[in-house]
Amino acid sequence: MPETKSFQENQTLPLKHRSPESLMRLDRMGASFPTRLSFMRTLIRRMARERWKFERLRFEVDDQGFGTSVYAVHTPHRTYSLIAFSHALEPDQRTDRVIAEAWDATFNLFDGIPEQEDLDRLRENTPRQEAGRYLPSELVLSRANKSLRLFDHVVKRLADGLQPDVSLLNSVGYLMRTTAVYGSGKFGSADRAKISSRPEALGAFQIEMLNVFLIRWFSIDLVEHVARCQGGSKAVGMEAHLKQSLGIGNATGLGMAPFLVNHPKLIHQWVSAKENALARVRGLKNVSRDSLQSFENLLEKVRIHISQWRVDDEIQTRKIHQLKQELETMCQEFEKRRAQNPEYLWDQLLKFAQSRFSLEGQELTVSMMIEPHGDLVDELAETMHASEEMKIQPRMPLEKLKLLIEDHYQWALEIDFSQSANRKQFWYYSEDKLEPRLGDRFQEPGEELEMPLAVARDVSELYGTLEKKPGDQSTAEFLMGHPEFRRTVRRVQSLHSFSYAEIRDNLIGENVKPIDLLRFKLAFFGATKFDPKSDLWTRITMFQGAPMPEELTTCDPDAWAFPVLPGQDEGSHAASVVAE
Amino acid sequence: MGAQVPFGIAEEFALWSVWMGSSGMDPAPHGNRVLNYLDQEQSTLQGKLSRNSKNLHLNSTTDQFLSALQAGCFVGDWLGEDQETDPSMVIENVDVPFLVAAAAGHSSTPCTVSWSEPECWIVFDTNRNWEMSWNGKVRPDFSGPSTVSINRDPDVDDLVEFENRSFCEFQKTRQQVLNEGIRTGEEWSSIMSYFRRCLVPSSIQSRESGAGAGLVDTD
Repeated sequence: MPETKSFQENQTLPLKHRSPESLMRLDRMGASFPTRLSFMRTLIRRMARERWKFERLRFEVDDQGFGTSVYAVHTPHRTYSLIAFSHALEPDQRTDRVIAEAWDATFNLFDGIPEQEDLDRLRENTPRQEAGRYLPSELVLSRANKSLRLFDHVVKRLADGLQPDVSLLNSVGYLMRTTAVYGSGKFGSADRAKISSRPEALGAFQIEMLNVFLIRWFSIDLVEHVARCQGGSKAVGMEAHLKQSLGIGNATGLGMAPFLVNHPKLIHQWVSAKENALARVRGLKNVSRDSLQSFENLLEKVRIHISQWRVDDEIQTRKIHQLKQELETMCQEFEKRRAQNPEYLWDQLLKFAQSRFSLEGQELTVSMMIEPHGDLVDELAETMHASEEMKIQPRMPLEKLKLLIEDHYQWALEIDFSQSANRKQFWYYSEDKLEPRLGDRFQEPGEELEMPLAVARDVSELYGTLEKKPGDQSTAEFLMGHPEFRRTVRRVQSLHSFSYAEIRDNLIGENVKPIDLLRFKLAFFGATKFDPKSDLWTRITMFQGAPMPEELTTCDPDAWAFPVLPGQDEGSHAASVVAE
Repeated sequence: MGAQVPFGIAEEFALWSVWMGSSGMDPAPHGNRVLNYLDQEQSTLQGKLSRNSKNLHLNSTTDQFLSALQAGCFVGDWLGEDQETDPSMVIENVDVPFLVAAAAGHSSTPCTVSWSEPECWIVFDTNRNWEMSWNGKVRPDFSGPSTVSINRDPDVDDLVEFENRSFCEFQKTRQQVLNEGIRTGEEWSSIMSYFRRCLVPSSIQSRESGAGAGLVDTD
């Protein structure tokens, strides 16, 4: 029985949403996994559904791989082009940090097909990245560095007529990793408003994801080209399933954190969509045989996916180890309950996970439960955007403003900011290429230039000030004398009906781990293989396992969830899953 | 913003700048002037609100001008509110009157904004189009400090009396700007110098440990 058509009659439980008190805490945010609503998944589905056409317009690259390339994608309504400049890069200049000055490759996503004069102009600017200047015809500016150990290996093997070593391929997962992807009006490029009403750009970060998808294609073209130049007639191309197993890497640092705090309504929409999806699944009274079978297949696939997730970080390694055990437990529990044919199986399984599993185990369970229910939940991806407009209500009496804080920011009032440990760190932009950094408030200079990310502290300070003011004073009068609270007042007055908008934790405390924020956002992007390098940054892989452009019209666009790679320890089974 | 302006006000100023850009204007000269007034302590953000029989009144609490950054925030809040109690307001001695108009324009609420030196009147309609009318040779978007009146329920018949007019068809201009950008002038370098004051100087320690990733990645 297809679940979509019967959803309302099949659903009798009131839809259950997990509480923001539980969800919007850093530790759980740092345990996030992608779902089928993640932005890469949404993009791939649209590409396949609308039968986007891909075309390599230029590949003017020398035998070392340096030159200019243009890749076009034709959507039903318009064309976008990736312009790629690949360069020689000295080894000591290769860094993933924002402060880098040179890269292996630099890119623009162009609105339309570039003319020669566009290419000439961009060749002077794009390799300089932030120091260049761009026009509204450019939608995205980005750059990437090679994974030298993998890129050089693949070139050599293909040039010798051999396929790359699968274990090395798997251990890295990408030929290039992006180190910055800028959209929305940066450095003169197009404002988001230019494209925001286009169907293909409506969802979050769709244009930026398209840019990354095209870079992946370019990186594979580039490695094959260099191999051909080196190997001549002996050289071979990479096998299709190996290409598919390669994604694009990404090094993500502190820059993502301000975005989350500064786009609270958008974050609410993202989390709401995911929680609505979960609630719909939990509300299913009867479970179809198809979805049972899909879940069973998925459990096996995820088991292999997790077994192939290897990192150096000790904490994450322990978490992965526990996750493997929890997956085994989930397999057993699923079989047991399935045999009993109960009502509300998904709700039961989630409750089981919540009572027994780690946060990673719980969040992985959520992603797995949503996965077989595309017909039920995919439409929710259309709701994952928002206007960030926030307004002051000038007539609101201060006593009401205080009540709003007491009702919605109790979590902030519970933190004692007189304790230095609770305000030890501060976020700031460095004069070094505006690199976002985290500093020790009591050891380093710059506290007075702190970024406004400490929502909990600011609300707490506002509340303390309001306690000394007459309750019948208007907000407008208060702000005339206290302009420093305008941002916080606007936030409190605007967000009380957006329950998932605030990160309900202290972002300046001694023990804050920015990497929790990064993983939360990257999971919504659809990233996998989180590879924490410290509390401040992580590497990830994007589009790993996704179809290549030429495969989009012939494959299941959702088969790449929880990608498994052809690997030594998982052998032919893993390879067959990729090939599905 | 580099002139001790709180973030909450700075963010609203950014939205007015977007409105100016969407109207085909370079926002830098206006931004530069308002920051200069504050930086040179000729203006203040401290305001006082009162009400007489006719109007809401807003004025500086000191003998300095009232910064348009504070005045514009108040006007934006007031216009954004669905109320009929106070149809008009007067703000005394605003340093950069046109920024108050920009705040009104950003609010998308039909109204008029006027001041007297030079005599001018700006009308915002329901489609976000706006028309600026004035007497004399100096365009009012560059006028000096003045007392500004805002009316939510304007009588536009008086417009015919002005010598000069400039009309902005907002949505059309905005679309053109989104596609082509706007011309900017030399005043951006002054804005950038204010901006640089917001950045924390880098040290060896902060460069090495304040952010992620290594300084060289040979992976």
